[in-house]
Amino acid sequence: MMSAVRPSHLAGIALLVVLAVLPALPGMRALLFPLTLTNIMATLAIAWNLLFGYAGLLSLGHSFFFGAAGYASAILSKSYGIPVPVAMVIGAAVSSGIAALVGLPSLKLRGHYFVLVTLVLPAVAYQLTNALDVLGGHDGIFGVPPLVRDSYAVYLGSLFLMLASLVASAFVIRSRLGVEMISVREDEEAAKALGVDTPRVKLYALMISAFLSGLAGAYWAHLNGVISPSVYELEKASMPLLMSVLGGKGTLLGPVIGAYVIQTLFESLKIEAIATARLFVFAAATFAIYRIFPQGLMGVLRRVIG
Amino acid sequence: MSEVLVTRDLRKSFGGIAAVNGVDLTVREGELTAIIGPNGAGKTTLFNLITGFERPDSGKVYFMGRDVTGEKPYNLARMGLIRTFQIVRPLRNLTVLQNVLIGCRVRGLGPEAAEESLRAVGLWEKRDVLASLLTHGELKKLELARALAMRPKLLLLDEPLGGLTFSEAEEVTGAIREANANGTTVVLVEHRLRETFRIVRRVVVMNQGRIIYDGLPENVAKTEEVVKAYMGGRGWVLGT
Repeated sequence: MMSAVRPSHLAGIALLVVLAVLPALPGMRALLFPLTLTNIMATLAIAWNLLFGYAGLLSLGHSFFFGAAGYASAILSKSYGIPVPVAMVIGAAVSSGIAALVGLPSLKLRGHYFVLVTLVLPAVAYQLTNALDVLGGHDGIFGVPPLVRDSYAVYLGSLFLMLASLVASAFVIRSRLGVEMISVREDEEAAKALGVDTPRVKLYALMISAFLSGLAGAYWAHLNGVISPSVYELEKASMPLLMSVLGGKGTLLGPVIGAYVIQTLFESLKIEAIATARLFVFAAATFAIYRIFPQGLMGVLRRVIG
Repeated sequence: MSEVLVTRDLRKSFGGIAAVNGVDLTVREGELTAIIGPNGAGKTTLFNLITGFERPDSGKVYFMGRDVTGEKPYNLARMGLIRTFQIVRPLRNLTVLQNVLIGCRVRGLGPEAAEESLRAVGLWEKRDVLASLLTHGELKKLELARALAMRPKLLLLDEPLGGLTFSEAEEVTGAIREANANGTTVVLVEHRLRETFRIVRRVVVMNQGRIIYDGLPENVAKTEEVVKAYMGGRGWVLGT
């Protein structure tokens, strides 16, 4: 017997078709770049949410994993002629490897040490990339080869990247590792008593999250054709947090919804007077929503749908 | 009967105060033992040392004949040394069934182990309820169910009757007795002596980090040192 197709699945497919086709319509080409950016940021938010929303590990420095993969992919493709898709995957693996090196000691510490380590990482990377000529110094690396030349194909690629991250997240969450991640989030001591190897679970969660963040960062570098130390600035680090909290942390689709809302507002608020304060405005609005609906916009949606 | 748990001269101090002060304890397969003692006697610290939640300053812990001193708690749990906590630690945003299934998966057991343990404590009907919505008594039962579902070789229960009503305590003691009858070795720390003494066959009394009595429940109240430890020697008879 065929399984019944749920209305939510149909709605999801319809939304995907709209997203895939919309920027190709006449007069809509201007949406291509902002929507590509949105998909990349949504991928970063999905990665961040996997770590915090499901494993309970707060990272204030995911821009580090984003940027490190971007730099690695840019150098590999530009200086060594490695094909861009391969360079992107290697870049993401570099981020994941660094995450393992950082996570091994810091995740064993009790309290907020891991948060502090993640806070420091982008700051250190900012100084390093500024200082090292091999990384382009203050100006960064220019002439990063694009993934493909056609901007619509780049957009579709970003949509695919976001979807693939979403599917990977769903797979992880439903696996044994995902269940163990949730147990760590809920109560680490209880999880240990239940036989959950908590250091291993946290490390794997961090590595997977860093890998997905790295894919987003590499895509971003090849989209812009340049990567510079500004990638490590506070705005990039705080965006996945705001997007996930606004959309609904610990939910699969929350970060995507949050990313689309925030990026849309971001693009709309490019008036200079507002632009400088927009991060503050978003943070205030996000935490106001969090106070009222701890599950973010996903919580609101669930209430509305009943 | 083979020895399931052995501690040798186990010691742990906090800021110069000896919480566990040279404990030698042997638990044999199939036993149902209670560890009692006044507050601060070192009972929970002893549990923490045995289960790897604290590292001993000195001494050894052997589980099933293997030296497991300082072993990680999750490794011990995977080996079948399972504990519960004095203050309940439910995974609040998971359902009752999900709470129990995690331990089953880790131990390579199927969902039938979860169902069996939830039925044993009377929580099967609430399997789809979020743990955050349970009463204190139900949370205590959930804690026990999680431990039972992992099919422990040795089950350490820290105050399983704490805060329970009389009827809830009856249910929980029934489940503990049944688990023991099915072959699980149980050690429990408890303050509710009347209910505890009805089910155990051995009582260990701790005071100031040491074992001051180890024997039958019916002889506990006749031991002067135990009475002194509890009531300063004013002749109070333990509630047996």
